[in-house]
Amino acid sequence: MDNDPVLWCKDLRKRFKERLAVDGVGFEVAPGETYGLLGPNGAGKTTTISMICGLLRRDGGEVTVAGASLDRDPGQVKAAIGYVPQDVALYPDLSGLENLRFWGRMYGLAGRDLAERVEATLEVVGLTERAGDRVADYSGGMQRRLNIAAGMLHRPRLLVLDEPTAGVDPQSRNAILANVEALGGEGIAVLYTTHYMEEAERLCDRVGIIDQGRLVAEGTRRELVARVGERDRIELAATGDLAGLAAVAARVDGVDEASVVGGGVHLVARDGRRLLPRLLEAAEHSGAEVTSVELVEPDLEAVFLHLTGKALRD
Amino acid sequence: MKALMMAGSALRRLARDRLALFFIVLLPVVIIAVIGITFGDAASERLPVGIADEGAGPLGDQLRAGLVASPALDARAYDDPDALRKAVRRGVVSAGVVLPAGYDQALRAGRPAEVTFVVDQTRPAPAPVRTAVSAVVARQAAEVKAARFAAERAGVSFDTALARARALADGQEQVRVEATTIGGREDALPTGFNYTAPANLVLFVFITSLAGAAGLIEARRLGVIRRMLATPTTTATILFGEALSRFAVALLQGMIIFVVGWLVFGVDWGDPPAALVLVLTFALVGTGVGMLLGSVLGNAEQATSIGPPVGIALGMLGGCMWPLAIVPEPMRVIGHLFPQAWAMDAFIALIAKGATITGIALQLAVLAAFAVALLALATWRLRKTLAG
Repeated sequence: MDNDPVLWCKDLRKRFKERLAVDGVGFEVAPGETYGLLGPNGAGKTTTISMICGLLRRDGGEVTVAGASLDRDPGQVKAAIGYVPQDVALYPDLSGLENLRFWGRMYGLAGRDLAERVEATLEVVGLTERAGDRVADYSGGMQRRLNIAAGMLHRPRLLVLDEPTAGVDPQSRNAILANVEALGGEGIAVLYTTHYMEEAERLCDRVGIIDQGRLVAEGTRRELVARVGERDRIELAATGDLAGLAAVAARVDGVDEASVVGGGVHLVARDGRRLLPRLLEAAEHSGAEVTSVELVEPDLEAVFLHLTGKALRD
Repeated sequence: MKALMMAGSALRRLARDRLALFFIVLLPVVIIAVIGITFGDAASERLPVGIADEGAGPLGDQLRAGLVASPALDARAYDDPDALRKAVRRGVVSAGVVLPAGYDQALRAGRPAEVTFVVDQTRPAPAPVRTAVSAVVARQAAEVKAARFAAERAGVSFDTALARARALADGQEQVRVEATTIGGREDALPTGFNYTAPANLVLFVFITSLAGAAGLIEARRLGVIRRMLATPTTTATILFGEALSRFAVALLQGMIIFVVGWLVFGVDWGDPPAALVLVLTFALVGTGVGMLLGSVLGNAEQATSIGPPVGIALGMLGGCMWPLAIVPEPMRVIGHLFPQAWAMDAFIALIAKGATITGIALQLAVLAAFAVALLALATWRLRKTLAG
């Protein structure tokens, strides 16, 4: 039972007048797993999670959270989800503490349980010292952290974060990402939408790439890279016989291309990280001396470009 | 329970908004005080009248005592007619009465005696002054006439006959002259604070409700309501909580004016339970207006900027600035297209006509219908907005 997915959704569809915003999206998120929905603005990420959270009427598809069907038991589904919207949805004229108490009560918490969870959550997001201050007096990053805290209070089985770092300074972004990373260790399933490739790579165990309302691919980063046939690039800076070095490297199994470029040799290979020891060993017999090695692995940006023909930020 | 919590949160936020507190607490009280003091409570005031006695004798003393005892007059003695005339010209007293020398002798002898009534031509004496002075003079004239007739026919002294006539007159129900401005209880209007307090209650509950829509608009704009929908809370509960929040603020506004009017300005609200039901019902109307405005406007500034002018305009049409009894019939009809007029009718009935809750049942029903219609429209609109 513990291995059953926390979130299971299938064939989600939503049309806004003539525009098909979400077209047959479906995926699963396991306990403790962080699943990223990666796509450019307008790809359908927010629409998808709005349907999962019961905020938007579906034109089709099914959603099950923690074993409960959104159609049959929306209250149970909503109680199992912690929703963190893209915008800071808090009362600016209340303090951080009062906001958390408010949202805790909205999730049915009360009394000592509420007080303990508010205190613990403030600690997690590092706002204990400022809990009594008005939210309007918080920095943008602090507001974002409190925004996340309000969704975590009731210890949801599934935390849904809709672009939580949009418009946040680097320091606050790091703090937010660290908070999200910690959630997986607590067994909470996380559904994270972003158009920042770096965030998806850092946080997500699996990524679903969404474009124009369709889930075009999903898997681990490595699976996605492999699926589109993208290869690693290895740049060897060297002195001596560079042509000899290129010839030796080209004979190593897994190296597809080798060429002399400037003061070094550039290789194209599959699973370059695994090849590096053998490459360096071969280089010792080439008549050249390798002075530095740089491994450039294909990223999700490259995968997205390969799959959709456009960049993530287009 | 969640709805109550939402209303409590709304009141807590209101308590921290100094500008809102100024408009809800201080401004209406100041306006009630200024207008109430400026226009006063004419019906209950005793009007000042000066009396100068040139040596009128015992019957002159009796006439002066009658003027002093009149409940409509505040009689003040002057040493001579010149001082009295000066006081009338300066407006210190509304009018003056000069009791001439030889007044007593003339009446005893059966000769005509003249009492001079002093007024300023540029500022005629109010009708209640003329009526009250005439009544006192007429009563003494009747007593003297009766005493002289009795003295001639029965052979008793004039003083004895006069004493007997006065005793008889005191023992009988007097002919009373009651001066009313419009003509009777049906048209009676409260005056002074008894008018300005209910008028401002109606005015400010409405304005505060219009401006209070800003809270709902902000909650929508910030995504707070959308976030509430993601919690295990039904849409109905959320909408009820938002309505309860608006109702709490409208009722608070109404009760502040009700209590301050009663305790500070001595307003007689009439039948207290009926007045409270009226305040509650009108607060519901305000709730409906606030919810509807909050569901259609795009930003909070629109609500706070259109609230006061719209509220004042409807207040004018509805009788919050002046009684609808003094406006032409078409304006009265137009005024009754809005809830303010019905609320003012009910308050006037309670305060000036002594109506009970059954006496204002029609007005309460109309106000309740306004509230239901506005709330239904607002709920439909909000549900449509939130459903996606």
